[in-house]
This record gives sequence, C-alpha cells and structure tokens, in this order.
Amino acid sequence: MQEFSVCLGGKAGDGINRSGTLLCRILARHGWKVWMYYEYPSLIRGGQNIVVIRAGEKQPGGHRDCVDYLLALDQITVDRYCTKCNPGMVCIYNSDTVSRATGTGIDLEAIVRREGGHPVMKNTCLIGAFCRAAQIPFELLEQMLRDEFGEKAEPNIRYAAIGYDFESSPKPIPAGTGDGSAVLSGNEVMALGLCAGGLETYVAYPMSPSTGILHTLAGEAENFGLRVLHPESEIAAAGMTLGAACGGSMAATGTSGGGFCLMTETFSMAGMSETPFCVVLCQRSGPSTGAPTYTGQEDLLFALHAGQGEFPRLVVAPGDHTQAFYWSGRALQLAWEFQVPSLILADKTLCESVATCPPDLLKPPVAGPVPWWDGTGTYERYQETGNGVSPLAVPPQQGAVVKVSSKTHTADGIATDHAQEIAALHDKFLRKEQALAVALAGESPVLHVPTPDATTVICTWGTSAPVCREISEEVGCAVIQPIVLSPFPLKAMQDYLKAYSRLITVEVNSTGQFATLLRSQGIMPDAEVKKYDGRPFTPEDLTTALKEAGI
Amino acid sequence: MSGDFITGAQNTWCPGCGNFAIQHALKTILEEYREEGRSTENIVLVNGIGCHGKIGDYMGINSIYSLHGRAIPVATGLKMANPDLTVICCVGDGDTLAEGLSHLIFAAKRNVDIAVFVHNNRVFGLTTGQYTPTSPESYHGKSNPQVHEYPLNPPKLMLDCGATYVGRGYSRRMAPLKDLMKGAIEHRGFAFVDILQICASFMNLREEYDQRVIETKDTDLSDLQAATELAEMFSYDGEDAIPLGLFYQTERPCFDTQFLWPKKGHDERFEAIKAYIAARS
Repeated sequence: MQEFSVCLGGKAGDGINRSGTLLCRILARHGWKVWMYYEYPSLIRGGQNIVVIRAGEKQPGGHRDCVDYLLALDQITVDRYCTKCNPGMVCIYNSDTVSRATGTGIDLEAIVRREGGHPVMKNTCLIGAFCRAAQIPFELLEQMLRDEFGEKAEPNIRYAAIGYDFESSPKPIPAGTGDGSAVLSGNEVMALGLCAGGLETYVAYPMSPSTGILHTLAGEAENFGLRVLHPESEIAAAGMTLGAACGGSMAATGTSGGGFCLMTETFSMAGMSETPFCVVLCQRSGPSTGAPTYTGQEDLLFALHAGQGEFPRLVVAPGDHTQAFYWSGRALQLAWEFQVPSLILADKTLCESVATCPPDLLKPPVAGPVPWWDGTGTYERYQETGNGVSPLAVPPQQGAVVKVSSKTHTADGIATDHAQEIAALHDKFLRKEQALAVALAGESPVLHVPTPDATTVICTWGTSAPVCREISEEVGCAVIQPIVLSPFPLKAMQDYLKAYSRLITVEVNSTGQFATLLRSQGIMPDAEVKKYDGRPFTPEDLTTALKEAGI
Repeated sequence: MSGDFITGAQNTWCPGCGNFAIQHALKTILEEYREEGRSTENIVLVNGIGCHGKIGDYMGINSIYSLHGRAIPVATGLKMANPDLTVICCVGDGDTLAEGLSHLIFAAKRNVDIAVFVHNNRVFGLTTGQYTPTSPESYHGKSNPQVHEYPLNPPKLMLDCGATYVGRGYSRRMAPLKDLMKGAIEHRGFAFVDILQICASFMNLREEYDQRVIETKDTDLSDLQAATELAEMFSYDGEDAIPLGLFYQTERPCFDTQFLWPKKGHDERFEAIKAYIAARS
C-alpha cells in the first residue's frame, strides 16, 4: 500500500473539519504523510461538509478524486462518493440517517441517545469503526484522543470503543515509515512562518479563508509575545499595520480579495512612504463575494498591480506548507530590509488544507540586514543612497526627526511637486526594485523539478505546483514554479526554460493570468491548462487536462 | 529641522486661515515642553489629507503624512507598537468625520491614548468649498447645489462613543485653545478637541463665532449628562451660543494596556513555535 484516501462527510455543524484533522493526526502517528482537503459551504449549520484525506509514503500535495474509505454521517456523502470509490472501498455510515448504502451501518443516533454526551461524538464513533477496519491499534487511537481532548477524553474514548466493536470487511492500513509529524493547516503554517520571521503585531478583519491566521495568532499572542487586534474594518487593519510598522513593530495583516480591495489605498501608501508592510492575501473563488469557501488563483494580476501609482513590491506565492512557512517569514523580513510592501499570495487550498509538516522541513527564514540609521549627521527619512534603500529610523530616535509621507516628497519627507524631484523619487523606487531583485536572485526564487528526458515543461504557480510536481514523471514533463512573482525572477526563469522546447501553463482561473504574466516577460506558453470551478486540481483531472492540451 | 519646531517648507495656507492659529498653539506647547526639559522626540504627529494636513510638513517634529480619513488607524498602530509614544492626530472635518468616521468612533470606543484635534472649518477647502458633515444645513457648495443635510455634532458624538476627554476650541481664542490642546496631549486616554476654525476662502464665520462663543466655567467635568447638555447647546447650525472649553474628562483603561505581555526574543519565539508544532503531532 503506497497511498490511500479517506472521506469523512456530514452536515455543516457536525464537526467534520476537526474530526478530519483528528483522523490526520491518527494517520500521521501511524506513520503516514497526509494531506486533507476541506470542502464546505459558507454557512454555520446545514449544508454539506466533507474532508478528503489522502495519505502516502511521500507527502501528497493534493487530494484524489476517488477514495478507499468512506465515513458518512449523511446520505449526501454516500450518494456523492458511490461513484468515486476505489475497488474494495470500505463504507461506514450512520444507519439512522443513511438509507441507501453498502457497507457497515452504525446506529449513531441510537448510540447517542443511549450513551448521552455531545452529538459530535458520533464522529469519534465513526473514527473508531474506521480504525477497526484499517486494523489501526486501539491503543494508538486512545492515546490520540487523550492528547486531543485532555480532560474531555474519557467519553470520546468510550465512543471510539463502541465504534471499534463494529466489524467491517477489513482493509488494513499497515504502519507507515513516517515519524509521526505534526499536522497543521496552511493558515497555521503561515502564522508560524510570520512569527519565525519576527512578527510582533498582527491586525486583521475576519474573512474566509484568511481567518485561521488571525485565530491562530490571537490564540497564541501571549505565547509568542504578539499584539493582535481585530479592528473595525480592513481599512483600519491596513492603517494600523502601517502605523505599527512606523512605530518600529514588525507588523502584518491578512485578508482575502474583497478585504484587500479595501486595503489597496494603504498598500499604495506603504509603497510611497517606504513603510515595511506585509499582507497575506488568501484568494478565493470568483469576483465580489464569489464562492467564499472555495478556491481560486484569480488575484494574481490584482496582487501585482494593486494600488495606484508605481512602486516596488514583493509578491511571493508559496505552493505548499513548507514553502508557506519559509516565505511568509521571509516576505515580512524583506519588507523591512527593503522598506517595501510585501504580499504573500495564498489561496483557500493552501490556507485550509491540513498536511503533515516534519519539524525539520520548517526551515526558519534567515533575515538579511535592516538598514538602520547609524545616528550620524542630519537624519533624512528618504536619504538618497546608491540602491534606493534609505537608512531607517523610528521615533523616538534621539537626534532625528522622522517624517514619513504619503505624498511625493524630497529626502527630508516634505511634499514636493517639482518636476525634477517627482522624477527623482520614481528613479529611487526603480533602483530599490532592482536592489530587491538582485537580493532575491540569491534566494532560490524559482523551483525547478526536472524529469529525465523531458522536453516539455509545466510552468505553474502557487498551490497548483504540488499537483504538477506529483504527476510530472508520469506525464514526462518537468515543472517550473516561480515562488517570487514580483520582482519577476526573469533570469532564473530563462535559465531553467532553456532546456525545454514546449511550455504549458497550469493555473486555477479562467483567463490565464499567469500565462499573461509570462508573456509580459517575453516567455510564450504553447498551451494553457485552466480550471475554474472553485476546486483545486486533482492528479486525475490535471493529467486528463494535460493530455487534452496535447502533452 | 530647525530648533523652533517649524520646518523650512513653504507655507501655502490662505492668509487669515485658522490653521495658522492651531499650528501656533501646537508650536507653543512644544516650546513649553522644551522649557520644561521634556523631550519632544517621542511625539509623533499624524495628519490626514486636506488643508489641515500640511501641518505635517510645517511642524519640525516626527510626523506621518497619512491618507484622507486614515490618520487614526495609523495612530492606533503606533500605540500598539510603542505605548510610550505621545501621538497627536491633526485631522480635518471632512477627513475624519466623512471618510474616516468609523475610525474616529472606534478609537473613542477603545479609548486609544491619542489626542485628536479636528481642524473644523466646516467645509472642504483644498477641493474648493464642498460641504462637510459639519457644514450648516443651509450651506450649498458646488457639489450640493440642491442637497442639504443635517450637520453632525462631533463633541456630542464623541461623548456617546466613550471618549474620555472632550472639548471645543476656537482658532481665534488662542490662550484657552492652547491649554485645551495641551490638556488633551497629556490626558491618558482618547482626547477629542473640536477646533472651530475659519476658512478664509470658503467658510468665513469669523464674525458669527466671535459674537457667539462663550467660555464654559465651573463645569463638573465628571458629569457626562452635563457635558452632553453643554455639547448640545450648539447644534452646528442656528444661532445659539457656542460653548468653548473642556466639557468632560474621565478615566477608563486605555487600549494599549491590553497588550501587557512582553515581546519575545528570536530564540524564545522559536521555542514557542516548536512547542506549538509538537503539540499537534
């Protein structure tokens, strides 16, 4: 057994996400590397929630269409997956709510009536029955429940034991070779990455799928020594983030597209005022309110162009948890090293998917020097330097008056509208962008995954990259993923692309925004593979789409 | 920057503009601090956009020339970063009462320890004379030849929202204005001073204000009801007397006292991250 998939589904409010995460932890302790995809509507109760957990010897970067184990709390889950089952699928279901199913029915409602306790413990009972079918030792399950629920473990253990007594046709899952790694959501990983990068202040307004970052940091504020605030709006969040940075605090905010629309004015001010400003932009599906809990890669060109006027910016698009940890922290640091706004472009697939994260993969970002003022001479906030990066000082700074400005300004921070001075500020920004690009060239801004004898390369970005990497050998293509998207790492891209004669782009949007970006840099894709139904690529549908594109 | 707290930037306010008086009051306060031996290096002036905003360029102290309506979130961020900073917000009436009203309300609600000075000329000056939330109902500028709106009463609004220092000044009553502003800067909590200033070009209410302003006396500053009645005397319309001075002052825990735990160093932080991860295996 190299890999398998488990689906757990029920109604919103059934605790599917938490139970799915618990199942991930059990499988991780059993030695498997897991990836959990979570699909839910934008409501609190009712509607359908499912998680699909894929476990493998190698770290999966996406979920599969078909599953090997189906744990169903309702009929919809069964109906949805009856055609998406691998041979010999084990189905365990709530026989009190599911009337049409083949497999092992458990009278969960009757058990809850008999045993008392919270209805959400039905999930624990199902997990118990799953562990029995998978021949996962009960002791492992029991210990996991103790770790997960602490003082509330006992009733959960009782429910798990009831489930474990139900005998399904066995489909054993042998112990894997993994080391029992932690399982974390992308939002948790980005929160931790920001902290590893030196985060001190986080101000954000809740918005799916970014809210998990806010919750994680607010919950750990004391542990990590953070100041965390949920203010009145995204506009306020952006202003406070910028103000905190002006006060010397490494600050960040996070939101989704709609919230970032409200932040763009401040984003532009960060550019003009050369204030370190870090934002996590978590994309979701569609314009406007869209499909708030579904995924998309539709804000690439928005991220690259957001804010009026011209100013240098850093945009990074991590594709998996490891990249997300490193680049979240690094984007925050780079904002300070170059006094630019930086943007971490994530999406629902990254934010809310849960994956195993071996601690040694969580490589802490290594900060470069921040150009603090040395205290000599008369301080000028925007002093001319060779590379466009001015010495930084924050109040209270003895001997310095620090004048930060959103207006076109001279070196002392005072507004100007003289022709030469307006042009000089543009030139300063251009030099700074160049300095940032040079620094990034030494930080592996592009990931290249070669495949032997490949003449075709898949060029992709963000969360589409792990799925592309996974199938690359099978389809005989190499993969190139620029993690840094602004300043565009043109030299590295050209160097890698030289080896290939055919280029196909893969992205989750309808207009081919990444392909457009490549063309603007003189890189011409031969074909574009696009998906735009709110769901990420699975290995199956990506393989099919690539074949249709004439791979 | 020169030692008299005024930069060399060319001043472009109209002759007779009320902003000169507010700038002078602020400069006087800074000079008093210097005479008292108090450092002005921990003072940060945050301004919005409008005629008032130029004060950021003119004052030779730390400043953030922010966006229209957004001075207060920026100031709040400064206080999150460093509660020891003394933060002064110079804002306009169109700036903070129209574009930025939500931030003003929330800063009062949170009792953010900042001093907010509204340069309230009751008209948009820089964009040539449009109405603001405090324009008299009968005022019609080029953008509202037909439309008329009931004016907001900023001190009354701030009393409702939880501000802990509320008063009104007038740009042609320099000495009490300076005292009111200095009290606001030194007040621990959210201080709000509505400063009636004439706009020499678009809303010259000099005669009207000169005749109608009265200094409040013997006010019980802890009495919210009395303060509200004082604030209600002038509805920013009509021909009632206009009380000046401090209406209300009280103590309430400040926003920045909620972030008490110490910041963590790199190594300590990384240990906390590792512990977080270990707890999820």
